[in-house]
Amino acid sequence: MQSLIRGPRAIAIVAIVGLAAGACSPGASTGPEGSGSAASPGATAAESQPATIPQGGTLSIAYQSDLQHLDPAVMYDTVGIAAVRLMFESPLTYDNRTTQLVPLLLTEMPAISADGKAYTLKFRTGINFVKTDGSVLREMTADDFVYSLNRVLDPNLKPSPSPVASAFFGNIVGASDVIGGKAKTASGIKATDASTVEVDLVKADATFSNILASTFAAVVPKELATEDTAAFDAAPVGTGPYVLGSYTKGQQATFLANKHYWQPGQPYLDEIDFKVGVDDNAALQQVQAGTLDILGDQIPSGSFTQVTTDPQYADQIVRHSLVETQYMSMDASQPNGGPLSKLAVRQAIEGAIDKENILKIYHGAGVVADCILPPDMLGFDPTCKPYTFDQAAAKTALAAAGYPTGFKTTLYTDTTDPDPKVAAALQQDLATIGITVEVVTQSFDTFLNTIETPHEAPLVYVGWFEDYPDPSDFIDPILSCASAVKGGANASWYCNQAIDAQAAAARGEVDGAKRITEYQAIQKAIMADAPWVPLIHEDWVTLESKRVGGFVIHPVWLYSLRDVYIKPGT
Amino acid sequence: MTTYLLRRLGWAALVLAGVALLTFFLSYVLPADPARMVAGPQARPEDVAAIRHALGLDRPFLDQLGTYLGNILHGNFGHSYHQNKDVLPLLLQRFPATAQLAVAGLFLELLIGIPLGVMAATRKGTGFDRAATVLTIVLVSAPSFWVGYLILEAVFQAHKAGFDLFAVGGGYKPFDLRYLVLPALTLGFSGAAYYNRIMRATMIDELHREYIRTARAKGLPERRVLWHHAIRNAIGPVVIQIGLDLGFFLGGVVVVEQVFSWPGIGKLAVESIVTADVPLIMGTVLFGTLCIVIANLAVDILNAVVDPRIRF
Repeated sequence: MQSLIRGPRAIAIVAIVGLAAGACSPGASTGPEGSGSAASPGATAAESQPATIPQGGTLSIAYQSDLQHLDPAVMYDTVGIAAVRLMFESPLTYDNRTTQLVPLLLTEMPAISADGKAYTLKFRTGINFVKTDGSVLREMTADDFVYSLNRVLDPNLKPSPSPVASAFFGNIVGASDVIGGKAKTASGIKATDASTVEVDLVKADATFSNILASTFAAVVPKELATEDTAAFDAAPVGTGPYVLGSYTKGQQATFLANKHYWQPGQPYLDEIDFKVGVDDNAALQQVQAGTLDILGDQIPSGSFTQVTTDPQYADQIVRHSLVETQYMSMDASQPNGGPLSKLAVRQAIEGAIDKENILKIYHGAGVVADCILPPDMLGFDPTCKPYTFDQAAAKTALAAAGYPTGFKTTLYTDTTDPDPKVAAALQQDLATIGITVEVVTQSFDTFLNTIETPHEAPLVYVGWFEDYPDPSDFIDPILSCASAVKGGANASWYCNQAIDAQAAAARGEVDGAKRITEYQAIQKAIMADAPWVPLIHEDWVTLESKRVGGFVIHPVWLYSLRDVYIKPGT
Repeated sequence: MTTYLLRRLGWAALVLAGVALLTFFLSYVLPADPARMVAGPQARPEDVAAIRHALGLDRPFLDQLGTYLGNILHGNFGHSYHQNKDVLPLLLQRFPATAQLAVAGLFLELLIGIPLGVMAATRKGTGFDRAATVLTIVLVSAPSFWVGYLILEAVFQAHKAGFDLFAVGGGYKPFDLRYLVLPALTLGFSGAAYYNRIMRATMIDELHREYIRTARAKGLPERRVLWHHAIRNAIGPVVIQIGLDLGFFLGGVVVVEQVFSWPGIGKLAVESIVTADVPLIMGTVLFGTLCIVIANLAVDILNAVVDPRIRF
């Protein structure tokens, strides 16, 4: 839930994986991971790639947060994902600019059976695991992938199991037995020869290709990646273009070029240094001064206007729309007939919020959200605008719903800038139609606990960032009946059995075009029930130094450093 | 003396145990869910539950507390949920950075504070005294995050103008003055004000004593009266303050470390709180307490050594 960005959120953030059901075509790769240069909507500052990419040099990037994990089975944060993708590879990945799935460790896209339940994966041969000292461990085989998936399911991982074992891999045949400790391996994951693996699913699931592109599906060597994740965090070994050189917690991690990397011409850089625990204002000054190459966090709010309007930095700003939606949830099943449990009240509120004003709080970095699914997401529908901003009409509608003098309620948000400012703007808008709102701001960890406790928070300002670019990820985890439980992320406690049935069908739909239509219909139906007021889709805006080339904000990976190079002569 | 020491050590153990109990209890009753923070904000409830179970966070409070205290008695301070490393090595790894900053900061506090205090005392009531008083009030009142940001901004502007004396944006390199001076100065500014005031008050006190009058009557030069006689007697409260400050700083300089991206214990403490990393919160709090307890003890013993009037 609460997604990204600054401060505690950056620590918590999450990103990951990928999908794009149906959009699977074998990629003719020229880039590090999949090719293609079709810039996705919203991409800017994506300079054209030179004919031959310059080699060598050391790149530095600074983050406020430390790396939490380097073990792909447990890594689930935005700093870690940039590092893990340097060292590890999964069967699939995304094109280096878009959400199109392409093979990485596979020779071609998976063959999917007609019923959508069986995936056959053909792995490339001649790919080596390379140790942290730069020497070859041995060749990767299909058995390693079988082991890697079973390891993610393992409930005995120390100190704790994978955060996505059930959510991402629970649909594999036999997975629940492994998660429940009844079996060591899932019967649905089988190596049929040295380079082929078959994965069987309990239910058809068009998003599974995205799971295969996630870092959780990265292939790790059995003899080194044991149940002790702390040991593998300290000495990670994979097939990626870089190996871990050194890592001092709280200070710096260094990644060195893998001289035995399987893709010719890569990696581009000799070394990538992650400086961690660096204040974002300090890091910004360092990029401006040229002593640091990439700001790992967004440009801090206090410096945003100054930096983005200074022509000196115009060609150093990197921005891209995030695949996320910021919204205000309303407790649609508020107990004791509370006002928010009434559809007419929620619909009245939909028209009361000045979203353009909220976008201004974000310095205009983003677009107004009218529906649930964000741009860059399969099923995004620019024509979905079910409500219009009209406070006079909203006040009338609220009166007609039985609240001519409004009512009192509470809005929760977390302390991370600019969330309290947004909450104040929402409070002001709701006051104009007679609703008196008390704003409660809590530290991020407490806030999460509040909104995951049934009916504790009538109104919530929060966001959701994709786990992978599939519309199911914006319905199942946050708007389904199954997620309206204690600990679930359904902040509006919205539960509509009919929608659940439609979503289950759409998730398994193998016809890509039909699937899009189904999700667009689901989105409209949910908006008619008005559990949220969608507010904005935010942009990620950051700064690179003048010597950086090939750096873009990727719609799924955010910071995709495999494609970055240092411009010659800088 | 031995009895006194044993008694003090007993109290120290009691203080540590009290702080451990209180911190553990507070972490337990806070509404934040450590398992959720480990899993990440988007993990699904069933995966969070599995993590909660694996970390033993679903066990009763007394059970968890007993395990924790039992482990501590065996020298095991636990395993950080978020950093996936044992707590003790994490603390020890951060300690050198904090120690450098603590010693350098204290040195600058004294370098600025003591001469200022002595001069203010000897010029009591003059313009210099009043200016020093105003300056110290400003320095004591200015929050160190603000002073820190001002200093960083000044360094950045100097860099743009071509002067590269200090590291832009702060950061850390062991024993490198380009990195160390600025956070130490930030620490020194606010602390100097305290030392100035203590020094001024005790010096004024001493300068009115009879032995000073005698020394002056003997015709000793004023500089010798001041620095040889008066200071030696006035320095006692300062020594106490130095000991306490050092103990406090060694436990982590939270704000200054944060502003200057200085990877010390204070910064580690902030990171542990933000992520509800209970074992690490416990570790940093206990470490800070231990530093203060030891400093207190050392100061009392030192005082007895310095001042023959104190006996146990």
